Amino acid sequence: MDKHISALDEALSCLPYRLTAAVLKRAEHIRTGICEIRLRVGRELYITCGGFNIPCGVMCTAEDMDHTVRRLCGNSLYSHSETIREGYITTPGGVRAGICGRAVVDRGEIATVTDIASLNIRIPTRVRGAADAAYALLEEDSFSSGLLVYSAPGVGKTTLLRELAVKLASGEKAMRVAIVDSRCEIAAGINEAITADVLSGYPRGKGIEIAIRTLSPQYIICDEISSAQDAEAVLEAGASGVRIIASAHAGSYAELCRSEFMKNLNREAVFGTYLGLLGRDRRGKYKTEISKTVNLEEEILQATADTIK
Amino acid sequence: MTHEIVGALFVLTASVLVGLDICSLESEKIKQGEELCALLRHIRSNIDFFLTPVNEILHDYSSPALDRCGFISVMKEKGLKTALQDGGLTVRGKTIELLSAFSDELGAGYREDELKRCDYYIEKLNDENRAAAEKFLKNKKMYKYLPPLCVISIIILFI
Repeated sequence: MDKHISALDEALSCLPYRLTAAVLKRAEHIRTGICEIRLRVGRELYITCGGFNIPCGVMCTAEDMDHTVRRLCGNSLYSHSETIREGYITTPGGVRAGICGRAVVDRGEIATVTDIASLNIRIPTRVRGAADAAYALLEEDSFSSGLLVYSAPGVGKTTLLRELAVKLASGEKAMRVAIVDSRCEIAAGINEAITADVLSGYPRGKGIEIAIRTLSPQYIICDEISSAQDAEAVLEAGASGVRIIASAHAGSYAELCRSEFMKNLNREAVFGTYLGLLGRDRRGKYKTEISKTVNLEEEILQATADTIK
Repeated sequence: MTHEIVGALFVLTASVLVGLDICSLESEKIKQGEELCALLRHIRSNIDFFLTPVNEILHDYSSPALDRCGFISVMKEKGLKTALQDGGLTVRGKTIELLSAFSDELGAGYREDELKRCDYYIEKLNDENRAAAEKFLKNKKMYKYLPPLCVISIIILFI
């Protein structure tokens, strides 16, 4: 709870006082439950708690947005130009703010973002016990295979990866864990992960390559595999014998397997287990679906053979 | 007669010390102006080559002339804007105005904007320093002649 409060305090300290006061007043009784703070120029300030969008009764101005962006960047906008191009700003405390504005495009690539009109400040959370089920799955396989966690956005994949990193990299059976933290979110506030090495801000593929070459990890943890390039890096890691724990956006296993690169990963059995997060119940526990790696080609052939019969 | 001689010696000594003090103060102002310009160049280099955040650039900076008056320690603790007001600087006027405006704008833009901003303020500060150095050279003669002028005044008084 303390870590969440300090991340929330860091987020609130970036807001103009007027907006901070409005958030605190609105969330008087639910302070530990604020997941997001949303600013939109010319519109009302909102917070997200427990999946609900709650208005705060104050309007956000362009000056409020400028002030907040500057504070999030530590008064050094230029030092965050790379991440702003990718659509986010991350603070040292692990607070990540997604930004929307006007993209300046150069030869098909986003060169910079100006006139920032929306900001979604996400507060990183520590949920003790969130990774118990995932850890148990890895233990079932004697820590011999990887794990892919998938869900729709905002359900808690990064939270789960964070807790799993702590479980794997601490205690008597601590393992060598390399965290490729491209968006500086996973490793926020996990000081107790004593055998974890964090590659902060590294592009996913490069980070995985460096981790394999230089850190001899037993596990590599990374977030949001979303492209063929990411999948290729993960495949190479799998081929070198390192177990990968990663996440991906998908509402179900069927949806996950629609993409070609995911089919490739499945074919190569990079992930022994697929853990789907379908939301949380009232007690905050994850509702999950678990799938083991299957050989899709065999299944399709069998299904075809059955049809012919 | 003794009293007059003691009084005369007192005036003479005071004039010498005042002259030296003014020279030293003006010289220190110019030195500080140059060091503040060097600070801006240091900020520019760090932004240009490393995109280092502002608070890190300021935290790692050192300068004997600015350290003497306590500017560096205030800057590291409370930032550039506060250090310009409370950092014990002897420079005044246009130099402080320029640096205040610079500190308000610093970090608000992307790399190219920041470099242009730094170049602008470095140029303005250089102009101010040059003007102050020329003025000091002109006035230095006057400060040097202060003690002999006092001696002549005293002699005239005794005649």
